[in-house]
Amino acid sequence: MEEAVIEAGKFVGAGFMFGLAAIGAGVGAGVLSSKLIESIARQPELEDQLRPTYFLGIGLVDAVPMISVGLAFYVLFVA
Amino acid sequence: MASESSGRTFQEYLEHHLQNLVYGRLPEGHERKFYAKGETDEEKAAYCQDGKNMDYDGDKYCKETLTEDGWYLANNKTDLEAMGFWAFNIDTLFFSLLLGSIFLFFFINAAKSFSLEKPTKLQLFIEMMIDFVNGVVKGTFKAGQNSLVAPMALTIFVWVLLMNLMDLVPVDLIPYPAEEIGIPYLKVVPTTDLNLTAALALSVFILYLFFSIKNKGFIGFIKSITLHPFGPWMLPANLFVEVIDMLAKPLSLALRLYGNLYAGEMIFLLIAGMVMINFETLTIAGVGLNLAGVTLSLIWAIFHILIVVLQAFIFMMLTVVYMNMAHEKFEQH
Repeated sequence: MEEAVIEAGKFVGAGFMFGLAAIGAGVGAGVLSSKLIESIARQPELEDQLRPTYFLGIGLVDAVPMISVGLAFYVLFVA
Repeated sequence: MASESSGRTFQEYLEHHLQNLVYGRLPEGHERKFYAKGETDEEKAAYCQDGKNMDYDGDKYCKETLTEDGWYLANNKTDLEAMGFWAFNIDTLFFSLLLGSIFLFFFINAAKSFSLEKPTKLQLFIEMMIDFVNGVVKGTFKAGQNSLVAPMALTIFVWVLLMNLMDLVPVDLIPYPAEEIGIPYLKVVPTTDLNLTAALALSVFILYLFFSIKNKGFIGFIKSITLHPFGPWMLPANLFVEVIDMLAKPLSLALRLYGNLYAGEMIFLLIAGMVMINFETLTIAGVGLNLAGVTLSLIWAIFHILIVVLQAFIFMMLTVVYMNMAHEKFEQH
């Protein structure tokens, strides 16, 4: 019984980790991309300057949920 | 499963692939265990006797009790625990130095055989890379003059990129043959080892502190961490905020790179663990699973190329940003 509860807890915990990571990353990437499009629409000549910054931001946004997904897999299969 | 041929369960397979090859000191009286090959008890006992002159424990392992202190390769978890802090991750050191040498070899060669009239393809590629890094540094590093920053950014970018690219090598390609010749663990991606990313981040942090103090003067540096953001009357609060802000830099730098690559590697491993390698017991369903595994690996690898390059770029970019912060002289708040 106790083992079953622990096993179930792993899946619930990993599910939360996947889900919250997806929500956070989705919101973050969405806001970032929409702002990029807005800025380029307003000032198209700035596109070359905006794009590296955008990729930097995407990388930063992408990193944290990726870590969460990796740790969730760790919790599920290894720990 | 890929693990079946080596007699491991799925979990043991994952743990095996996530463990570095550690070289450290073992105390006298410590009991070492080795995995015994063979089908029956007699075969296993004979394997232990012949090869290593050890006893067979009747279940899975040969065992040996050390009669004196010494430096050994860790073979399992009990070895690792006995080694403690002073142990070296041989595989991380080896692969990072190897990739660093490859990087230097190509760049030095291209620099020596430089030609304006007849550039080789390698030279053009390297020029492209230098142009790219040069553009980033010129765009970001504006606070001062320092001829160290651009070469450092180039080194970090290419080196981290090469180390990350090892992630695209199939997960069993190098560790499996290595195990056949007696290397117990092997992790081929140096950046999936927190020790390496933390070392890189610490080096950047030390340079940040050095250039801060050099450019602002010691008094100026103390002022910059005590007198703002709240003004001189809130000195403890200022110090608290600034110190946390400062420590967060190397920490986030190290953990971001490590976490991304570790997660990517983990997903490759999970896909690889699904695939059947034992051809004798291969069924129709097994073939389907294999194909699914290959497809998934391919899709993830293609997606992972983005992460690999992006993380190398971000590490470089943030290094340049921190260097820029270290060179800012007059801060207005």
